[in-house]
Amino acid sequence: MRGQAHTLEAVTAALLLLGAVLFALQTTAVTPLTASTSSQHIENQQAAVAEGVLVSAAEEGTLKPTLLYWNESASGHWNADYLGAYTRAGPPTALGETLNGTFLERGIAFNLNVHYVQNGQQRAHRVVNFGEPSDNAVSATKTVTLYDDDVLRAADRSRTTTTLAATDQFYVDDDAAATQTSGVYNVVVVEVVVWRM
Amino acid sequence: MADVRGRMADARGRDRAQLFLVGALAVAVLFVSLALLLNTAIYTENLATRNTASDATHAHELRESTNASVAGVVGYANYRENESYDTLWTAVATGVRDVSDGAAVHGAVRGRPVEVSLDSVENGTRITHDVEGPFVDASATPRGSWTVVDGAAGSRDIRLDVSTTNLADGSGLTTVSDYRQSDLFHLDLAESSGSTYEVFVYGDGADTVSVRVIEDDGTPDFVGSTCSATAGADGHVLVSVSRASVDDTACPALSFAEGLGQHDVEMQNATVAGSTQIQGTYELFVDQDVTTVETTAGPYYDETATSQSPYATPAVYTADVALDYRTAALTYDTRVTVDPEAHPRRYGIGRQSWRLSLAGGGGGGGGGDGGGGGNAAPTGSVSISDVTDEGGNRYDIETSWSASDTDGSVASVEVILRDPDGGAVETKSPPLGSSPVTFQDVKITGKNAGAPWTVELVVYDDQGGSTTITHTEDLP
Amino acid sequence: MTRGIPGQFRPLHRDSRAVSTALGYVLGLTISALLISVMLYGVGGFVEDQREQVVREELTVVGQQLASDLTATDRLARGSPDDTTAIRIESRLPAQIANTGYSIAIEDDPGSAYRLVLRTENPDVVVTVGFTAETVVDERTVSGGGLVIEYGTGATPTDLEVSNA
Repeated sequence: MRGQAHTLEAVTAALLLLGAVLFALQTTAVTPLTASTSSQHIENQQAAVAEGVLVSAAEEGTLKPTLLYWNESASGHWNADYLGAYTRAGPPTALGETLNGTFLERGIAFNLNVHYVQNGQQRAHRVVNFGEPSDNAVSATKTVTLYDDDVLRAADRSRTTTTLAATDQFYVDDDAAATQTSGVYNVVVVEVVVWRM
Repeated sequence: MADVRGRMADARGRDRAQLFLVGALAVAVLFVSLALLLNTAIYTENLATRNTASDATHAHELRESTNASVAGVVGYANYRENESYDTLWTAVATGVRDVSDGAAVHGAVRGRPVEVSLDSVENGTRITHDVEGPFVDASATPRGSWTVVDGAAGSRDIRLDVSTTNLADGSGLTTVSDYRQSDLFHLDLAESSGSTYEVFVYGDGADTVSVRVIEDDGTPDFVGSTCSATAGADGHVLVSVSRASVDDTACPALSFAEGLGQHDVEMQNATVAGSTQIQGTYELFVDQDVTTVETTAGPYYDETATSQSPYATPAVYTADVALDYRTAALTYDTRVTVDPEAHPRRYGIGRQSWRLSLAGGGGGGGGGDGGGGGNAAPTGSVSISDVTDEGGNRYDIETSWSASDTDGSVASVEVILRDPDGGAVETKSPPLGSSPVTFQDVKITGKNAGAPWTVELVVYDDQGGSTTITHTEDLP
Repeated sequence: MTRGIPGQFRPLHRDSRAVSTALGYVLGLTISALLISVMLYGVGGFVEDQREQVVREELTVVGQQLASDLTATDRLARGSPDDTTAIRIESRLPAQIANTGYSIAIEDDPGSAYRLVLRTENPDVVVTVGFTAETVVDERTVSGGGLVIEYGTGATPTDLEVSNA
């Protein structure tokens, strides 16, 4: 009898010890900083860089010409790679060169999306499409207004004589068509999504 | 005795073991609390990575883009819908409502409602001289010294596109009295209670336009130093008093124009004894009703008179919009005073740093977004001069190019190498005159080997024209 | 008595000559008690030290976050030069740090510099975080937790006011 009690005691003690060791081992946790391809700090930094690129492009006036760099006859951007969007690098405009220099050369992929309004809904149009972003992607946005008398750009980045009001082959429709007196064509949000390749 | 001894020995061992047990338990409890502390430390690191204040940054960005959007609406109305103050107001109100509707949809998608509404509009006048000519008024015998506006509460966007022809020469003048006693043209901004600023615009050598500012608050003094710029191929230099720049160089002396009180604007010595001292085009906005401007200053041509300048049209001087923005953690209600000066110019004289050699005739809505007239496109040639095999299917492709412009100068060139599918492999922007340019380590394999590769030369001239020349060759 | 088998010594563990049982007992207990208590004291002190360090670190992080929220509100207020601007930002700070509450005091430094002084009672830790703001920030003390930063409303519309949610 006493032997059984002793054995039980020993077994319980061993189990207790094992439980304590397992509990102690669980105190090492996985934090957002231990992710594999990206850490939270890098994501924050990339978001700040993307925002800076958009703001400086808007300041220098290189943002809108890229939106208007559109080939009417082909219904796509000039020299686009696939389905009217660029899939290998940024567009051959000043903004595209900035994006290439800032992101592509450092192994960071980016998508350039243009969200526009149609019938009270938001639609998306891809200018640069590097594929589906990873789980650690960040984005930055900038709101731009397109006007009825903005002109499309030709393949060599010069101005054509086609205004937005005159064409119906542009990827953004005229949302304010009923009120021609205002001159506003549409309000679009330019979004840059970046992630590490 | 043996029994007692045995029991005593047992007792010793058991008591020690009990002590050890209690001690171990206590240490274990302490280690558990240590684990809880570690959790707190990990949470702190997590907290430190949070991107705080991003809502406030979005609010700032929204404010800036609202400012830009409504400035564009105001610009459109000022040049396209400026028959009367009523049409202007309708245009601006509908524009702001369209901007608000669009922004509201985008905001709703992200759960951040946005609303923009027009609060008030400040009526002003746009005074334009858009036909190349001397800066005289519209009286029967044109006067070279006249009042542009009398007692305006404010002025903005004063731009003079000055031609180098017939520009009075003022090189060699040094002192303040030299300038004031000369016959040089000067634009005066005279504050009702304050100083008078005289902006002298004169020629300084061949094809150079210089600007000097003198402030007269009792004792006349120079403000800053001379700003000069050389005219381009079109023979004009844009002096932007409001943006404090002469062509593309900043001119700090002109920054006095910010924050002026009520002032008069006068032109002096545009013609002296029948000879023109300055000619070109100019434009400015003043914060005064158009009927007041036309009765107390000028005289001006009627805006419906064709090919006549100067004339005055109704315009929106500034607008106030109310902006409302909400997110989960941020509430932002503010009033934005639209500042058209701060945004890229889309209409009128000197837009987008292009120089108009000849704008359209008079009347409302001159200008718009067309191109400058009469610019000959540049020319050039490109060819592949050498292909070097670097091994491993990599080649160095040397291209020689040349570019020229008959009526101006070449601003920049781009050399683009395209593979047989037409995709751009590499783009180079070499400095002018640095032909030949080499594309290093171009990989030519598979179906691209022996297929036609294209070298494309894009030449941009300084008036916004461009030409593309291509040369196709089978490589390697 | 000590003689068992003639000619051989008794094994040591059965030899109880010249040992006072009471002294041995007391010595054994005392030594082990000393050992245990020193170990407990050391580990306890170590845990207490770690706790203070963790609290200090977290107070610094919380202070930096609040300072960045305040400077962001200040930037927004400066970028909206109008009397009718109203801004309200909620700053969600943790209610407790390592199971103790904390208080935040905003103090004015010369110039446009301010100081955030964060205090906990137990352990007794004080952390100072400095920041600059062009708009005037009201000096006050709030307890940790959800905070609200307001501008343009409240008693002084031109000041940034921090209060508990």
